[in-house]
Amino acid sequence: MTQIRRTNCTGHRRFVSRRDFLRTMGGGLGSVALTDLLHAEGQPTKHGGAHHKPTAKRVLLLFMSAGVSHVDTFDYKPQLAKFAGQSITGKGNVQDVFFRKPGKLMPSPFKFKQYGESGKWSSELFPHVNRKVDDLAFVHSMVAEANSHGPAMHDFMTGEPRNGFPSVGAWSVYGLGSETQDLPGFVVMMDRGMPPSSTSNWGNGFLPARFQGTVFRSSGDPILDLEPPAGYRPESQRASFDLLAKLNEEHLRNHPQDGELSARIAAYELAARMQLSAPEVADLAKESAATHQLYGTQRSDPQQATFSRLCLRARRLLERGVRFVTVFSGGSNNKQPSNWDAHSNIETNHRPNAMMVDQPIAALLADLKSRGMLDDTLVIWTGEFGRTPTSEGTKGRDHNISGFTLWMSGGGVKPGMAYGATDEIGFQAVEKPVEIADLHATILHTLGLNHERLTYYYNGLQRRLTGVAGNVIREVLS
Amino acid sequence: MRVGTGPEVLLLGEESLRLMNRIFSINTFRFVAWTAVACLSLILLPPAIGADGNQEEYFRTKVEPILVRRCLECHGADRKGGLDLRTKATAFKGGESGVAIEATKPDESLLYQYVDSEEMPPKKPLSAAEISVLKRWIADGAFYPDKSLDLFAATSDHRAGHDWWSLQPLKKVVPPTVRNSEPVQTVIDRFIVARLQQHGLSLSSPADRRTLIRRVSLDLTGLPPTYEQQQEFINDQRDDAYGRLVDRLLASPHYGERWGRHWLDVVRFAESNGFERDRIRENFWPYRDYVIGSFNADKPYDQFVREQLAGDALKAENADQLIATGFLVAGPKNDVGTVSELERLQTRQDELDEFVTATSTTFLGLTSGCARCHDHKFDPINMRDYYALTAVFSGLDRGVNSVASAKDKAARATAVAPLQKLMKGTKTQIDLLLQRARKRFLASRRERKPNSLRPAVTATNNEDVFGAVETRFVRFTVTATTGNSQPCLDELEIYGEDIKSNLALSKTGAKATASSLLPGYPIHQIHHLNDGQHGNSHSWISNESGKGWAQIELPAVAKVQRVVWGRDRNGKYKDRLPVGYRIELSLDGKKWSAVSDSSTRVPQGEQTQLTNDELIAALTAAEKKLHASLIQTQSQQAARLKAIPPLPVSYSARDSQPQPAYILTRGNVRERGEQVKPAAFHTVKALDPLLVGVQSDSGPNRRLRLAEWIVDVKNPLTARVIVNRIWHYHFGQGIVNTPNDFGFNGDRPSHPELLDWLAADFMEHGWKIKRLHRMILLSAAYRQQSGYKPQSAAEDGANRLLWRMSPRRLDAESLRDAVLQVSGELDLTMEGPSFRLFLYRDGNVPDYVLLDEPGAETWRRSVYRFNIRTFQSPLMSAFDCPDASVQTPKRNYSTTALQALSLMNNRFTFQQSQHFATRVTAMAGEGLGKQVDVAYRLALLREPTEDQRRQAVSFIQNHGLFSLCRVLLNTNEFLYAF
Repeated sequence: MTQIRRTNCTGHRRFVSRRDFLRTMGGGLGSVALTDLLHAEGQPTKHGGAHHKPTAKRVLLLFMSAGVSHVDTFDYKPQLAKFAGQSITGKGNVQDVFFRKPGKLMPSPFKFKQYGESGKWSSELFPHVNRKVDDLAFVHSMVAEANSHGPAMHDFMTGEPRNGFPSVGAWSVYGLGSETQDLPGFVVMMDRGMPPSSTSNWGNGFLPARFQGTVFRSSGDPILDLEPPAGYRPESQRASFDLLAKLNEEHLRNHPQDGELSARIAAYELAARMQLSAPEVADLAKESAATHQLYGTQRSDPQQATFSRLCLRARRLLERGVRFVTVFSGGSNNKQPSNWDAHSNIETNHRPNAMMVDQPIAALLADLKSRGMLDDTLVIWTGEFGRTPTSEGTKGRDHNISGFTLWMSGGGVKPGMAYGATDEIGFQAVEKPVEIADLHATILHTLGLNHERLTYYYNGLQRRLTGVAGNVIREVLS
Repeated sequence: MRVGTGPEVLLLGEESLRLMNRIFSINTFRFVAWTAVACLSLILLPPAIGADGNQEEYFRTKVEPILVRRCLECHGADRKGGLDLRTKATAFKGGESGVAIEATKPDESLLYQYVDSEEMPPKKPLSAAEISVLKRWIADGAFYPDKSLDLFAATSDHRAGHDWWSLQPLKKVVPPTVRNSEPVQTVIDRFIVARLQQHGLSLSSPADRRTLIRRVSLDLTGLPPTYEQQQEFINDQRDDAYGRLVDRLLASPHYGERWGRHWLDVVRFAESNGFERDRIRENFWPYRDYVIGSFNADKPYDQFVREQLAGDALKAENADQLIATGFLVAGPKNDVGTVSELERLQTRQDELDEFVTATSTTFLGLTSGCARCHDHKFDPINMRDYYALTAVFSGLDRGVNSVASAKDKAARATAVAPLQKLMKGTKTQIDLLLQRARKRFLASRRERKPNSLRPAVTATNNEDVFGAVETRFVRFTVTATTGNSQPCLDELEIYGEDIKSNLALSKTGAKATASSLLPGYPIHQIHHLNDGQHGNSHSWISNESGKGWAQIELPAVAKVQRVVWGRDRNGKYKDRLPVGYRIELSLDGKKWSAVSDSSTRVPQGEQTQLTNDELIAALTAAEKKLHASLIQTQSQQAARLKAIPPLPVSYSARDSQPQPAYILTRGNVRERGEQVKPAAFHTVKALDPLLVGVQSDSGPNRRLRLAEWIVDVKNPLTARVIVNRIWHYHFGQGIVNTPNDFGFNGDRPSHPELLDWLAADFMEHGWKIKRLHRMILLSAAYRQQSGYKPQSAAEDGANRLLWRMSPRRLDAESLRDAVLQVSGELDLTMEGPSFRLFLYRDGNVPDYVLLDEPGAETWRRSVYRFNIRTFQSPLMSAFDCPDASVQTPKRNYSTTALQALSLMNNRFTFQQSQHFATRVTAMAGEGLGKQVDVAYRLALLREPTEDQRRQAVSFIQNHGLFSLCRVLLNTNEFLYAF
């Protein structure tokens, strides 16, 4: 079992970032607030905020909610067939660490074979993604900290198993701002409703609210409150924005040089622009038939088609300069078929889930590549933890935090490689274990941000996404 | 001195910034300065005491400060390189590299070699003077005391010691004197003005009364003043008009709602458990009411602290004191069960950490979490301190406690029992009647052939045909709906012989009326009933659950024979469907005759699920009369029962047997070290931490002792921290700008002497918060204008010295409340269960669903909003309302485009702008100019300028009064307090 890590402090000397400095100068309405707003939401930064030369301008996080099994997807463990039905104790690296009696070892019901020039062993669940394995870097030695969904999600997204802390997307936008004038810098999409822990997954925590993720909805207005309620005339809406601008300008003349008042005027202008740009980015009508075909947006299964559309939207968002996009496959446990939480049957759970995401994810990789965007987009595919090589009930698998797999691609990642390994049965990371903090450090690193220097003061500490931990996984970077 | 701003500063590196901070500190604050002076003298003066002097004295004054400040961080508890310089034995033993000190032989002592070659300390070597001190010390025999050295003895470059400013006793301060010409109103101003003068700055002129009343009303009550209140204040000629205003506001019950809200931020109050399941806490609202009530009653702060930490230990009749312990348990609670003992221990330890952290930051302004895994890296708190405090809480758990006395319980039982008996009897009689009706109804339906029934009501299209009748009025009365919701009709069509010509259309002169209308939605209007447009966006919804009527008055008497209606002809919506209804006709609008109803249709849903209306219809006339009177009796009895208040319960502390507490190595629950007794931090030298620690004490008593230690007048932190919080909310920044952190990583006080003076004064006068408010609010510093002054800003960009009042955006709660006040819909009901902006579905992982159309029951002040940790109200969270998973000592005030979208387009804004417009029309009548004036007065507390009036009138003509109202609620003038 891994050492329990505490990340609620930092041993680092106090660092005043440029942004902190701007913030503390506010004193109510400082003259810098306008710059601050634009930096965070509109103005191109040209890596102004970065600590070093970035290899990725943006991040796409493909999140398989509730735990995708590594031993049934990309972490091939032929020994499981040999040990089928046997006790786990004494196998691999396992000592007697269980408080609950584990089930017997269970081989994967899926067929594995080798793919690509790298000869990557992979299961039949991802036929499309398997053709891209030479573009991917697999990390087989991921280790999570919390064993239930909520805390594990928090930990994965924010580095803290409790809720209330800023997510990695919020940190990224805090560090670098956005490159788009008309869209939020951090966008979140989900195919089956709220994932476990809901909005905490993209919260701003103690960072200002402008860094929180904005949910793009899969139907209706892409952003909540983007448009007035139905029935309100568009010309009245335009005229209202105009009148408001006039009144605010007049008011500003009586409060000259108050930066924040001007910043709010600018915020309303941006809102008005967003009313045009958000529906545009959500509208897939202008995409070619070939593109729709590639992503499978017309697939007959509505859930499959939904995920395809989200992936295509993700590309459009990234293309327009959104810094951080998260796409969730799977919602909370309340509605069936809900997510990847295959407690009762790995086969009947993972097969349809994989069907939903395989084609569009492969399409997205191909599409980004053909547009030259994969080079500076970091793509990550993962869940909050893996699943046990032992069975739960007769055909399911339980949560496994001691070892699981994710893959990365693009944005400075070395393609066609595998990093780290679990033991012979896939239970525990034994070679080069990677903690969530290491992943976070790596994500920030590709964006040109040093995780030890990206700080924000809150309640006694210059806080970091990575707490006191975090090592960039340099071997997976080219 | 520049404290401040300018683009060139932005280009400075980290080092320069730190340097600048230091310069600021040293010049400004004596507390810190003396340390620096001590260092300087150390460097500049040659060793005063030689070999024949007092060696111990030399060690204490010269050597120890160097060892403590520069060596002990690594070569103390951490034993880097195996070297531990804390004790004589370990220091002389040396480390991995060999013997560190050879007495009388500096050149053979590794310690000296390393510092002399500047290898140690790394990064920043010792000064030549310091090196020579060490050399002389070793040469003289390397005196080492028997008592071990304490890392916390002195503040260094990178950590605070026991000499840290906030840990020193309050200083006796004499307020500075300032020239008579200065605009001094209270003692506070003498401190402020003196500091400003040092920097060549001065206070701004007093703000005008219009600005001042809005500022102070929002500040004290969270609500803007009304136009009338403002006028009254402007016209109040008395000298003490402002003082009277402040007193009136402090006496208002809304004061407690506002300042209670601040406290709820600090104590991470929310009404759900957080973590994965985030279950709701149904019975936590009494704590919120306790906080509001305590502020309103001006409860002495020391008592407030005692009650919240140990109300369950206070032997009083007052149930409030148990409710008060809600403070302890206000944080998130991980309730996902686990079979793993390790995880259970870990979860419990996390919970204890939450108690310790909340207590130490809330009352002491000390962050202690670092000491969970190692001695605090920045403040003088070690692991023993931390775990001793966990021992205070080691039996603490949570629960829903009855806060009723035995007397309460007996009284309620006596009151309830006879009534319940009566109610049972009434219900039996009603049931008997209805059973009879039910049998009759089913029997009669069996007689009719099913195919004689008309098809069931559909959401899209229904027809009711009857013999041609001459009529002028057609009324459609709803008696039942799906889900007992308010019924919706998108169109009510009436036909005569011409089967294509809809007589009901408004363009033919027919007029629609209705019993009521769901307020706040442009898409739901009465005139949509006969506008010829179908679909939900052009529909009518009544404002009555399960009933309502819609009526068409034809332009002239006509022969009608068919009514066609639907809920949503476009087929998108199926809710709000009228399933029980009747259609009546009338020539004069007075005498009605029914021509069709739902009884001849196949009933909705289960055939045997009869609606109450259907059952009642099957009663005989005499039975109907009896039934009606029974129902009346029943509702009277229910009302009487409801009037008896339920026994109060509250989510609060429940303390069982304290468990032994251990120092956990590296914070790891599997590595138990020494057992520790309960104690407070030894950080506060003026007090004995062990006074808290009595092993045999019950949990509540341990906490009571801790509370007494916290509110002891000798504790230098408690009063400073609360006084600073109050100051912080008034000015937007504290004297210490990190209200939860008075340690090394926190801010240094901008006016240290003022802080001490205020803290001492506060305690001397009975810990009364309202008195403190009054002193602050009456100061010239508070009453000054907020205008930007470039020259002052160049000197002090952050306005730390208070050369103006900083304007501030309304926080989320104030904004929502202000909108409701302006719209005239604010429900000022205090106390009781929170209103919900969501639907709650319980389950293993409960579900929260945002309400589309929250009704009038939610138009209360936002402090009464049910706050769920993982499910945020989008409007509130857009305006920086925190989710309360962690403490919020200070709100963010961000400016975003999403705020603009929310405040323009959110349903809430639409709803309330509509009410605002209705209110304006009621007050101003139909004249547009007058309407504009009234709207401006309500929202902005002033008349429009001529230009603005003209502009607004033409805007209303094109876009409606509603649109103007919405714009006013979005203006900067409305959104900020100046």
